[in-house]
Amino acid sequence: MRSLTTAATGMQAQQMNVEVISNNIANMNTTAFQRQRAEFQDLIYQSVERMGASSSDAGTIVPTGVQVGLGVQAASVYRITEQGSLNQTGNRYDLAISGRGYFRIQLPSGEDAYTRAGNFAISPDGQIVTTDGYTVAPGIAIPQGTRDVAINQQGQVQAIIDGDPDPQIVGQLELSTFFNEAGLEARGDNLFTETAASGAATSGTPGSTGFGVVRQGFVESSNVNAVSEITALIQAQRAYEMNARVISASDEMLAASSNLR
Amino acid sequence: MARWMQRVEQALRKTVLKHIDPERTERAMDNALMIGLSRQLTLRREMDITANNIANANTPGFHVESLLLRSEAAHTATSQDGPRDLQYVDAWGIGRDFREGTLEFTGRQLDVALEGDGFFQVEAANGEALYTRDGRFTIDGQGRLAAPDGALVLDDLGAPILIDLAQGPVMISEDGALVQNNAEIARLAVYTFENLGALSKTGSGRYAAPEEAPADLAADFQLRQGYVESSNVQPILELTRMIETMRAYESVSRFISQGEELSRKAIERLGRV
Repeated sequence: MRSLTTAATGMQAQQMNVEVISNNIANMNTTAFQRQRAEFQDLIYQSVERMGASSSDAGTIVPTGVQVGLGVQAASVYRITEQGSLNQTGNRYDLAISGRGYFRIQLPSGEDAYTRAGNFAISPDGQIVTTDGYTVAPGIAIPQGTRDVAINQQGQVQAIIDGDPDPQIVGQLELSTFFNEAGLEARGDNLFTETAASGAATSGTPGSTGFGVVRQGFVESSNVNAVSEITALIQAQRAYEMNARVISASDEMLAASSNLR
Repeated sequence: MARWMQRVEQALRKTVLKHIDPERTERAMDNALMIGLSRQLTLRREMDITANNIANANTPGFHVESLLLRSEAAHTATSQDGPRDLQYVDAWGIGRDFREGTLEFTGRQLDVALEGDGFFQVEAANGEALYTRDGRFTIDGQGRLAAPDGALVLDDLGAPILIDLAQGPVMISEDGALVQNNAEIARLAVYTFENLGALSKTGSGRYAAPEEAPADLAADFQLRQGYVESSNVQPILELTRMIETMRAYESVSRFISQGEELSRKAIERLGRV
């Protein structure tokens, strides 16, 4: 009986669905978290009676055939790169991206990672870094004696230094975009790395065509919608139960046969 | 466990086929048993199909399937007038319900739902053109419109669709035109088939079309951007069908064991004389 394994694939798929939903709910308050969606497709089909095969020597053909499907599979877990809402924090190193783009982060290994979580801070040597202490590319140092830092929408970083009436431009932030943002690989800590699926990064100044703008004093909240996650959870749970019912029904059918003697 | 069940199924099939064999001259005493078995085989297949329907209840673009049955006259050597009194049950084909599923709002820019008859055309890895109603598209690393597994979505000229999202958001109009910055960059192709029964499923929500069923460009459809078409599986119907199948199987089993009981009694009584 294929129905046993078919229903098992259904239960596995729904289990994965619940895993994805629970990760979304767990990260509801994570800065710039992008919600994920598990996508399902039907599995392969077995042809029991092939359509188009001849059914007699008079040349008649089987019009529809019998194809039995073997269940469901996860096609991908897709990240929905929708803009999250911007929350004002007032912190001068909190940067939110409004529109397309990612900040480039230099990992200690020398690799590049990308993030939209702009809750940055200052390292002991004056660099703008992430909360984990990784440098935000291209590496901007805030001079000593800085009273305030102003970052405009085009990503220009200006330092207001004690005793100097004019703000001093100390650096220019850059953003990176990708053909397929959903193809980026998540590596935890709000960081992503580029893959063959995402395509190579294109860097540019914030505010230029195809790039978002930077807003100082804001962070982007997650784009998880609690209501839709909970309804998806209910759907997944019921679908899981239905598949379990199929397994017990198939089991009863087998029992009926084996009780014949 | 699974192999054991396959073996049972094979054995069942062999016994049934043996009795359908036209070369057999005598009328088998256990006809009732064989007819019951032929029904049980189709019930098992029905259960497999129902299980697949339920497993895919949340798969966008999936269409409900059901088994079509026919009666197959049992061949006996004695010539008879009129209809034959023994009829086996046999699977004849798969019926697919191509009614539309409900449209579900996702808000994703590249989710496209098809209203009306038709299929999108995608190119599988081996270059074969396949047809699908699952419009959850994405963009691959080279900027081409693709299905989640990388199969390219084709336009009305049969070419891949290039999209550069840096040029602005993409609007998909009801007639399939992809518009960016008020300029049409490509047009999604939608095809229909005269005989939907000739399509065969290849998995991943896709259908292959045989040569004798050519695809025609569809005219009567509307695309909805930001929606996906959910499967048209109705869980209640499937569950009741599942229970029906299960109970029918059980009652055939009971009927078979009663038949066996009868022949056992017959042997006992006749043996006494």
